[in-house]
Amino acid sequence: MTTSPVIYCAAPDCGKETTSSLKCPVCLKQGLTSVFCDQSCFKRNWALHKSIHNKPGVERYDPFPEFNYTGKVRAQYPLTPKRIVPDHIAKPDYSANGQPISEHVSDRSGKIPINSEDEIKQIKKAATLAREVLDIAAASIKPGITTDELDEIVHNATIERDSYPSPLNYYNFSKSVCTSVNEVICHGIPDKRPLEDGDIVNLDISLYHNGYHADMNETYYVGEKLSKQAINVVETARECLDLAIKHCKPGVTFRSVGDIIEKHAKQNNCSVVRTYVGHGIGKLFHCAPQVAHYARNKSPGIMKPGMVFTIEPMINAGSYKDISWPDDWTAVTADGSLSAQFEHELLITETGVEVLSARNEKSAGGAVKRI
Amino acid sequence: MSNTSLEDAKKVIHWIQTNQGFWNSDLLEIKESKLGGIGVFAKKDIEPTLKPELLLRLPKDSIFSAKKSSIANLLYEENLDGALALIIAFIYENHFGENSPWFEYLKTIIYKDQDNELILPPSLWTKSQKSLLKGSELEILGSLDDEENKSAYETACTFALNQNEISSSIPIPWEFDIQDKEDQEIFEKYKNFIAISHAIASRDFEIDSFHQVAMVPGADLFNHTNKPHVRFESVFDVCEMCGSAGPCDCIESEGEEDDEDMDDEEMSEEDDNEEGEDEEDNDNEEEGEGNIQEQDPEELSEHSDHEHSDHDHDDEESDSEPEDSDVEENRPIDEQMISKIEAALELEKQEELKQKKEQEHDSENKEMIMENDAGGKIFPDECCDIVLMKKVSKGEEIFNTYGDFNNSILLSKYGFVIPDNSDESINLGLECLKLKKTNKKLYSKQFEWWESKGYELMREFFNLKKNNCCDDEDCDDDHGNDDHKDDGCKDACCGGEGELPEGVEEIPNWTLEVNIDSTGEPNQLTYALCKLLSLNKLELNKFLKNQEKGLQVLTTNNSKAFKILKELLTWRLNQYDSEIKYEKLLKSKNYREKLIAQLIIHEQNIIKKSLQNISKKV
Repeated sequence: MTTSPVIYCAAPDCGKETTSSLKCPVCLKQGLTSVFCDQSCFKRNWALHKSIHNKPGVERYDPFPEFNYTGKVRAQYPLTPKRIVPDHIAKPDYSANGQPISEHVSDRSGKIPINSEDEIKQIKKAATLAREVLDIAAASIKPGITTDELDEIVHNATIERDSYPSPLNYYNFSKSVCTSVNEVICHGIPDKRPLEDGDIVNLDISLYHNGYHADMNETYYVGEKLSKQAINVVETARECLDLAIKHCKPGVTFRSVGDIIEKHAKQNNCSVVRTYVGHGIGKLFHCAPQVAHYARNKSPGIMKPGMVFTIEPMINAGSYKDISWPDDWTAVTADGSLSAQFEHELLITETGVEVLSARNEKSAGGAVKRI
Repeated sequence: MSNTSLEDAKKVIHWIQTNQGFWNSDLLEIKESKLGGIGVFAKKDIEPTLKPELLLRLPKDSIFSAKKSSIANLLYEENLDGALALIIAFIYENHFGENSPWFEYLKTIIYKDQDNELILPPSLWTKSQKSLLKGSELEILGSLDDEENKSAYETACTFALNQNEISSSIPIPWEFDIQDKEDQEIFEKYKNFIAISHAIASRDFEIDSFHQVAMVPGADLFNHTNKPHVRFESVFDVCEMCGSAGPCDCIESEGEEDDEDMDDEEMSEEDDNEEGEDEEDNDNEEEGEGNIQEQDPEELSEHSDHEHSDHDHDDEESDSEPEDSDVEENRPIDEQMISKIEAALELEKQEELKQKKEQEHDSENKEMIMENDAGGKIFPDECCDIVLMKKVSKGEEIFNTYGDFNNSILLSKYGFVIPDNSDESINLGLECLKLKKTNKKLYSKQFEWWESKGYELMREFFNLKKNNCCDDEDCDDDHGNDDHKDDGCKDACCGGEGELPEGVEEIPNWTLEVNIDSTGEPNQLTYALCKLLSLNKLELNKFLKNQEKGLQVLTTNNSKAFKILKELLTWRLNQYDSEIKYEKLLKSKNYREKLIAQLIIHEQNIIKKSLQNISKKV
């Protein structure tokens, strides 16, 4: 008796096991097999699904030729097909259909989770693994490598560590890492664009290990041609985060973090993105608190021992304003100016704060001197 | 009456303008009010013709509520909400001083007078002042009683101590620091707490089911009248978890009665995704969904209406072709079909673009759309408004209403009285109880019926006659304000705070419902009770036999009934201390004594008028 492999619907908002034989004809021509439960699954997801289709005659193409890009970075499709996570790895609830139901169920009316010692142990383990993955991916950054190749590195390093790459299918995000180049503020989708000498690129790693998420990111310089402006925005972002972390301890209001960050950004002629915030993390990928990074914000709550959250300021060389690409993920600066981000995952302790995502001596990247 | 100074009011307006709010300075100016303090005045004649004129708009994200405060999570941990949570949040927030984003507003909330004395409610006035209130509605209805305040204070102090013990870096605010302190000092702190509570209670607004009560900068500058020009507006029914007025993706963890279909289905999705899930279960769920897809398109569409974000079958509605049978569903996908999908997508895109343009066009012309910190849009449903409903002339003060309150409530909650308050009412509950007690034999049967079911029957009877006054809109009309403002509709007809499930009415104790109004007329229930008591044995037996149909009997005029009412009123009048010369106190230099005199003289006048009316009928 032979057992045929289990087939899952290729619709990112479905992901259910299926016995259907309905296949995408375009994929078939490319030598890919994408099975859908039914026509409804196919239709609903066509717009998203077609991003993996080749365009005849070209190796890569811009899927949004009519879009008014704010800078020089262009989306470069086709995307590679969804990467596989082996069955033995524990997956978060959204892995099949994209809906983080546990986040929707969790009470957001003011509660900020306080983690037990055991939970903290698990969170720390996940954070350590995520740091390893980030360092591995960062070490591969060089001119010519595509962000999709970085995604492959991240994906493989993550599953080697028996972990699920948290971004994968979170609200139908199609990749395992966010890669944000130059004017991209955050949530860039890894694609066929090769990194260029002089680019800056942010790798935002999150993974799910043993029931707990970890989340951290850094911005790296690509190659040797570092512009004065790139260094200023990257180093300012790095310093903003460091200053913010120093400020954290029990009894500190979450909203005050933004005051520290914006003050330093302004001193360096940079602005602070307001649309995206730091967040609680643990059993859930995103939960309370919200940590806004700009001054005079109204994020509620006060820090207490046992809370775990991220601070992840996005610092722009120009205006703080952001817009989204038509992929509904990629956030870019509205004026096309450079944007850099750093993110640490933090634990509030009795006496202060512990950086769960701390760098070590082997970590790639790191601060450079301003010129 | 706003205690804010003119200078502070200007700072509040500035705060509004720098916190995503709108203050209609073309129409409004702030000046000294005849009532004392300041008020909001019309800069020109304003006649809201087609729609109410927007005077103030503040995003709910900018108001100060317990949920928005720095200690929101601490309050959550200790299950504190409502008015007390707001007061505690205010006290903690004040300790952050300039670091609070509400600093410029919060510092305008003063609870001390010019002589630096605490502004306190009557429950904390001196003994002699309290004794002047003897016999007043305020005393009778328990507003001189301090027990509730004391227990709120204890709760607050315990909260502060707990939080400090958990983390010493969360300091105990001065007001709550009572450990190892002398009684005198504790009482001083307590009085501060009460003064703060009093200041906040006189300014808070009921916002919605998420924020509950909150401070709305600017909205609290309008003074009170019972014939208001403006209305406070806020969408009350929002998600209790995230505060969103529109669709959100929150799911209540315990399946509630509401929107059962929705919850159930989503919960089942969750089940689907859990690992190690029982096979059988899984199959069932899938079958269930299949059924819904094929057999109940209506339910499906309802679903996507509610659940705007990312449901499994969200876009199905927009796919125009009917695809009913399994055969159709599983037909192979071909190029032709793909081009059809592409065409549909293109159409959708155009449609969206068109809608967006229309929306922008709309918003330019009609609605004021605010911008949030990040430059995104804040729609009117996410804001609190003060809108003008009635014509005002240039130079006229523009009034809000805090509710149709009698002077006792106005004095204990807001610190002022209206000398000729037309919302005054005098309660005769205690007098009725006295009548019952002193005439046990005579009235025992009547009271037995009244208390066991007569009161509720009559209440229902009158309510029916009133044509269900409180079918929402009617109710609003009755009270002259449709706001969801604190106590906006405290009449028994409305079921009060709205905490009860819809349709279930909270029935107040009957003794609270026997009143005469400001014209001296008894309300229907009061007269019905008097009429009931006037029935002789024979009449009573007859009435009790035929009670369901005969309730009408209790509404017809009868001099014996008025005699009983007269007795009640006479007793009521005797509750006051006849030794006190209130007329003289009207001229007192002591502010509190003056208020007391105004309150009591007005009440006594009403009772006297009522007695006069009756003497004509007896």
